[in-house]
Amino acid sequence: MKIRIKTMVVAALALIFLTALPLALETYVPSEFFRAFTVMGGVDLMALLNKVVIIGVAMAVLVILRGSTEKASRAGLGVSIAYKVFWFLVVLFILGLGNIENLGLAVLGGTSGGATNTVIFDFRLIAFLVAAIVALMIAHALIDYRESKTSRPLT
Amino acid sequence: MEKKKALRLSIKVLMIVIVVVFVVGFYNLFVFISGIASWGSFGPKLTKDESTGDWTLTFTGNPKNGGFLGMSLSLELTISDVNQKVIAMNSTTIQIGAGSSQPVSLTMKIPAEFVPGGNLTQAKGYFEMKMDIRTLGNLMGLAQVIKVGGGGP
Repeated sequence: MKIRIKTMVVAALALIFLTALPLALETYVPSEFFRAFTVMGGVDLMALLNKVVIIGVAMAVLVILRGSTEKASRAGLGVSIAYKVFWFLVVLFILGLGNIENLGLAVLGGTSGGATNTVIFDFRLIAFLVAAIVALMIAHALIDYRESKTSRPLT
Repeated sequence: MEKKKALRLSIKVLMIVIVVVFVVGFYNLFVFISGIASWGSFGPKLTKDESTGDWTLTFTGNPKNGGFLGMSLSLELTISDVNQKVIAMNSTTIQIGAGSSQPVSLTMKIPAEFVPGGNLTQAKGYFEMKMDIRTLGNLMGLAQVIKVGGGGP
C-alpha cells in the first residue's frame, strides 16, 4: 500500500486543526467559559468540540483511505462515495450548529430565569441543494468507475 | 463523455446557486432584522374594559423590508395559565414587498375570570410570542420564540 505525501499532509492537518486543537481548547480553556457560552448562546460548546474531534478523526481516516486505494477499484469507489457523504454530513453539521439530525435547522437559545428565548435559522434549502450536488457527484463517480471497467467512455 | 460533462456542469451550476441563495437570503434576513428599530411602536399595548373587567392586548407595528426580495412575517401570540392551558391566542401573516412596509396588528382578549383581582400584572401564567420571518418564497428564514412568565401559588 502506497500512501502519497500529500495525503499524509492533509490527514495530519485534519488531525491537528480538527482533533488536537479542540482537545487542547477543552483542556486549557476554563470550564466556566464553556458553561457561560452554553447558557448565553444556547449551544453546548463542549459537545460541539467533541463532535469536531470526531469529524477530524473521520476526515483523517477517509483522506488516508482515499489516498491509498486504487481509484478504479471497487474499494476506491466505495471510499469516494463515503468521502462525499461525509462532506454532506459536515455541511449539515455546520448548518445545524453541531446538530446533523436537524437537517439544516440551526437552533440557538435557551431558558434563563423562567424565560425562554429560542431562535431557529432555517437553512434546509441549502441542505437540500448540497444533497443534490452530492448525489450528482456520486453519479459522476459511478460513471467514472464504469468507464474505467469498460475502458471506453459512456455516451 | 456527454453524461459526465452534463454532470460536471450541473454540479458547478448548483454550487453557484447555493452561494447566490445563501448570500441573497441571508442579506435579506439581516437587513429586515436590523431594521426592527425603525418599525415604529412595535410592541404590546394593554387596555382594560372597565365594564366587563376583560383585558385587551394589542400588538402593533409597521415592519419595513429594506431588502430586495419580498418577505413574509408571521406573528403568533399565546397567553396560557399556569397549567399551560391556552387562555387566548391569535396569529397573523403579512407579506412585505421589497423596499416597502406593511402595518401589522394583532389583538387578543383576556377574559376577566383569568385575571384574579383584576390586576393583570399580578396574574400568573405565560406569554408566548412566535415570530417567523421568511424570504426566497418561504424557503429560507428564521423564527424566534419568546416565552415569559411563571406559575406557582
